[in-house]
Amino acid sequence: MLEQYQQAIAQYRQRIYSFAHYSLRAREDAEDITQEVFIKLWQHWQRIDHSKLNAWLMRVAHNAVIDHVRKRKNHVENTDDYAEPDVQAASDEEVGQKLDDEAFKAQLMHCIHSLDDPFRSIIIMRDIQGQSYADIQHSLDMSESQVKVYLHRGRRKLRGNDKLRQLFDLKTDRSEQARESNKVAMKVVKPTRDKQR
Amino acid sequence: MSTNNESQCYFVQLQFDAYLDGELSETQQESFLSHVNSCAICAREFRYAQTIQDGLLDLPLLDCSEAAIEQAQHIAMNSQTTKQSGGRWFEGLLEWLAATPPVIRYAFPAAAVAVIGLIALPQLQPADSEPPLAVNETSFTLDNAELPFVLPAQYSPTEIVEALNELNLAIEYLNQVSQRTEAMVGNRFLVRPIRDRLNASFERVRVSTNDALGGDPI
Repeated sequence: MLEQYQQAIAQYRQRIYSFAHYSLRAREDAEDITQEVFIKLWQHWQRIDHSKLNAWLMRVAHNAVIDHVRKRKNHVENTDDYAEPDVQAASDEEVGQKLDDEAFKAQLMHCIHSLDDPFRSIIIMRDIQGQSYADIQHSLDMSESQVKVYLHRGRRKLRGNDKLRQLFDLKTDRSEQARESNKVAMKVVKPTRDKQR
Repeated sequence: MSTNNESQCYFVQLQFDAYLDGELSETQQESFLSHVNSCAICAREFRYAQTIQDGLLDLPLLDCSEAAIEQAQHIAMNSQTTKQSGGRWFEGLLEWLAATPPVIRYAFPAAAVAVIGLIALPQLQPADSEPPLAVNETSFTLDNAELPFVLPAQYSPTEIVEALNELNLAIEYLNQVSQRTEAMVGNRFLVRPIRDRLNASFERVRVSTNDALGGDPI
């Protein structure tokens, strides 16, 4: 039993921790939730249907995240620092040129965190973790069509985020400019290369 | 024409998710791509949706620290030892119940409730079945009536008979008052108003004897 328990931990620790981390954006809270889930797993080991272990674990993790969000609602948000500077940079025109993929990702994470549940949970489970619709519907206790509808709406909410759109526009414009300047550079460089040869 | 294009753009943009998830048929894919390749707005929107989707896919699966996992295991093991000492028989019972067929699973708790009910029922009987809380209980036989209850010993039989007579008098008086009140109220609020109205209508008929109805009140 102990071996099976440890195998389950090894198999699902990343999934549960990632889910909690992307939901809460705080390492310590995500660790607390992961611990809570695995302690409950041990306590309920005899009564769990082990063919649906993933769904059971994700449901416990989801409930724990919701409880945590509820408790934290009145407190000042304590999110990890690494995402913040990029998000702030996005609103500053002068540092617009420094925006890159990391900034876009950071803003994306911020947007995911800002989504309401179950949009957030479904996007994390489906688009980040790549879980099947069947697993998600068992975890969240809803039908497959409901999962699809929430996923679709969640993605639209992400696309509707102004900062994310702004970052994308800046990024696209910058890459187009770079492409243009590369063409000019190629034209200038070509003769020198010939000279070198 | 432009409205047609706009509606086409709208429908194509609704299909972004389905295309990205690979849920479109081949023909649907072809028409989707042909529109996206010919429409600059949809092409930019599609690139935006694709960038977000790629960004989500690129987000890594993070891992919990080893210390946190070890701590969780440690807490779980401790909870196991406390459970073994106290709640093992209960867990065993639950496991046995889970393994049994549904008939027994539901019959067992029902039987348990029935047994507990049978044990607890005598305790829950109403207090009036118990004898009254008299210190020295004595029953008296009076001249004309036998009392169906036990009387306290602090009153003599004559005192009790007197008290009963007074009580009968009081009841009789209250009955009379009640009857009188009933007659008075009925007379004032029921009989008299009806009588007055009837009289008034008869009077009206009598006054207007020359009308077409010929004195018929109806």
